[in-house]
Amino acid sequence: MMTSFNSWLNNHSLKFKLNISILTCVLLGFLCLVFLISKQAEPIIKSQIDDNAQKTVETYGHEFAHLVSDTENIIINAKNTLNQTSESNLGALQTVLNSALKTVESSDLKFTNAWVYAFPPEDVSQGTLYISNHDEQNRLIDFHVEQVDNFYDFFPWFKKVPKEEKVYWSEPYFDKVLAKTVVTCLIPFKFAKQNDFNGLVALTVDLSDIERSINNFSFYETGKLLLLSRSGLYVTYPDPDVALKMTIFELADKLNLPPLKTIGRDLARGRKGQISIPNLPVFKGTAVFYYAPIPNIGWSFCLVYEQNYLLRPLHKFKIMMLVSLAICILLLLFVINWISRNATNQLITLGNIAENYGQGNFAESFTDKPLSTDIKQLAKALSDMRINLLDYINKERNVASEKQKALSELDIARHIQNSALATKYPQNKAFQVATKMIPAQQVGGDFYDFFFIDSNKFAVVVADVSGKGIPASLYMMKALTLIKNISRSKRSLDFVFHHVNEQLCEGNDTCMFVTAFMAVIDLTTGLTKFVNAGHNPPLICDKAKCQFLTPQRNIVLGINPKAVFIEETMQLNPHNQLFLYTDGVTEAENKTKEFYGEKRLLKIFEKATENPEENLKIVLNDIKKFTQNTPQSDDITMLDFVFYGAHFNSLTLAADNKKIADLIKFLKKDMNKHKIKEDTQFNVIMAAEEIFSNIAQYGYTTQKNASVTIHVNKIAEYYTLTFIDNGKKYNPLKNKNPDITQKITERSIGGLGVFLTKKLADTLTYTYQNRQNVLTIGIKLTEK
Amino acid sequence: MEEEAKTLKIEQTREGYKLTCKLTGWLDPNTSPELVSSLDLEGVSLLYFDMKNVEYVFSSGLRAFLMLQKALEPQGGIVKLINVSDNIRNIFEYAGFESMLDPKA
Repeated sequence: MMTSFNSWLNNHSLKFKLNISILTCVLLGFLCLVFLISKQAEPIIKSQIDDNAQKTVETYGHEFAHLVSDTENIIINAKNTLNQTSESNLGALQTVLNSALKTVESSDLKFTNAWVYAFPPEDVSQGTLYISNHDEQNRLIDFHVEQVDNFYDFFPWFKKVPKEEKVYWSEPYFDKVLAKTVVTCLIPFKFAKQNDFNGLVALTVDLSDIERSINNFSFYETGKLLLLSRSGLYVTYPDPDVALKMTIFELADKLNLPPLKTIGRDLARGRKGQISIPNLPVFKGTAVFYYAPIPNIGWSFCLVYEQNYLLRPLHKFKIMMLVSLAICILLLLFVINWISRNATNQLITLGNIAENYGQGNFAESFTDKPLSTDIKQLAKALSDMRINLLDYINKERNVASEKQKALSELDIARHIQNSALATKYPQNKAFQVATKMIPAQQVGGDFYDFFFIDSNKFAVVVADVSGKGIPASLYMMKALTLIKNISRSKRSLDFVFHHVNEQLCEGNDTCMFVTAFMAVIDLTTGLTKFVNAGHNPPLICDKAKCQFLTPQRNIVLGINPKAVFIEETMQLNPHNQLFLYTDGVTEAENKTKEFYGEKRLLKIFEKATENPEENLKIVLNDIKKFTQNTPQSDDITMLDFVFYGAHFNSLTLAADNKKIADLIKFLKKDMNKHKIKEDTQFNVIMAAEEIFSNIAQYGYTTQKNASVTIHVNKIAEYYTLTFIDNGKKYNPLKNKNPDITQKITERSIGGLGVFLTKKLADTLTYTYQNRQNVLTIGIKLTEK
Repeated sequence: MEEEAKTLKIEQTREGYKLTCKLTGWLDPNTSPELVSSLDLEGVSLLYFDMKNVEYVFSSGLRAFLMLQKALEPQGGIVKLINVSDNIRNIFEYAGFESMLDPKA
């Protein structure tokens, strides 16, 4: 996992890595910060808003409770006084009301009016109402007395005769005359010396100030304070259609908000609490209701506020942080790219200059490049390298020029060596010779030679000097010259090699030696004498096959001055060939250190032609195919000698019976030259005509390019004829002989020609090679 | 070139049932068919060939003599060669055609 990540990183540029790592760190840091702020700050802010809500409700409740108790105190004071007063004492009533109003005046209370109601103990509905008339400064002006027939019309909730002395609060109501929200507080009393309650004293409190104060109050901008009466009626509400017209239960039904009913029930039981209602349309998100009852009166305050109101700036703050993070990241990206581009540009510049150095261009130097301090170190190393390289190159240049001098001397040596080797192939009907030498070094230790000893004897030599280079080439020159010179004595080859050996041994302190094979061919007879001095056995081939000669090995030249060399003899027949070579051929190595070997040489020679130059090309190509450009470790030297014989003659005719006369004329002329007897000539011509007319008649399916080549030769006691044609493969020797014992008139007329040829020739060979029929016949030259 | 122009010359001498042909040159695949076609064998029962000036008789020549012999056989005729050289005689013997030759003198 880690390694795959590392390799992934390594595949990217420095710029990319910097971007990724720094930006990841910054992003993580910022996200942590935002997360922490949310986690830490949100609960604090939430509890803060809840605390404030509670305090607000408590403060308003407290104030309202104060108002309630003030009002009740005034009423209770008035009642106490009235308890001592008789109903008929109007002045006393006025005084009580007046003092009550005076008390109100000194307090924060506002009232609309105060009254006393006297009724018979058994019926509340009918009685006398004494209402205060006061001016704007709350001063009592006069007293308004009014007979009331039905008290319930004013106070429907006060139907029964009160049984106990306690304070009653009316529901809030809207005074249409004054256009104010008011509430009436009253208490029953007994006029002096009465046993039953027969009076009521009341004060109507103006709530408009409180109403205004509540309506103007806003809690964190969107939060609202609501005042509810004992029955759940909204005393204040932002919507005027609700205030004093609807209870919380009715609104719950209208808005389909059951939690409002829960609040209403809680308040009716005098409990305080907090309820969250999600997705309230007026607020964005969750609304919180905090509610608490007001003591004595049974009313309550409810504060509705948006739960997340204070979190909103926090969210805003978070968004601003994210925006600044994005800006910060963009800035960082730009800065990192700028820095890394600067750094990599310098590196690329250095790289380009280093590449130039690698290509041998040292012109550019680092000193004039503006570089940052850390890259300067690398530049200095490169600059030192440049100086060292320049020094080294100068030194090498001197060494190389020295070498060049030595090489040119080697060139001269090679030139001398090459000029010592025979190059001009003799033009002779009796044979063809070709040579090829590929030295492994500039000067080699191998050599070959060919030369006429006299007009009828031709010598071929291939030799290999131990060692390589200049010493070997000098020794080689010596050996080459000795062999050629001593051969001119026309003595036997054992004599020649004996003397060459003797002189090569002289002063040979370095113990160099030469292996050599030499053959001298009598061009008239094909009789060949040869001598071998520890050299590879040559190949000898006739038309049918090749084989290695098995000569006497003898000792190498140059080691033992008393060594004896044995001359041997063999017969070369026309179209035989002798292939001489050095061990550079058979020991040519391929990449797996395998030798080319004698088997491959023997096999490739199956493809040999009668053209020695062509043969050497075939062998060389085969060696190259084998070695596959493996460096050559030893000189490769080859000499191919193809023998035709001194009396070799040749004629090519169109394969047409009309050419028979030409054939006979050619044969007669050649045989006359060799003074061959008439009878033999007759037999030769008979046989030749049969073979030729056979080829002309059956050999070719078309006349185009149909031709026959006839080689004639006289070698030893035979006159030989070879017929070569490119026609269809046909071996006449396999022909069935005709039955000559049959009666003459019953004989078939076919098969006579081949039969006659067999009768006339002394030797007959047929081969099919290189898509050619080759038929050779030999006729013995008889002495008669 | 003269040989190519004329490698066989035939001189016919008719004496009743006997036809004598004096041949000059040689009998090869080019000339042998001519020998067969140029002779009128009507009423011939003895066909003599004077071989004195014949240099070579190749197998095609042998076949020509064979064909003439076969042509004469229904009318009871025979082919005889006279003045045959030793070399040519050898050829006839090799081929088993001795019956056409005169017994050697």
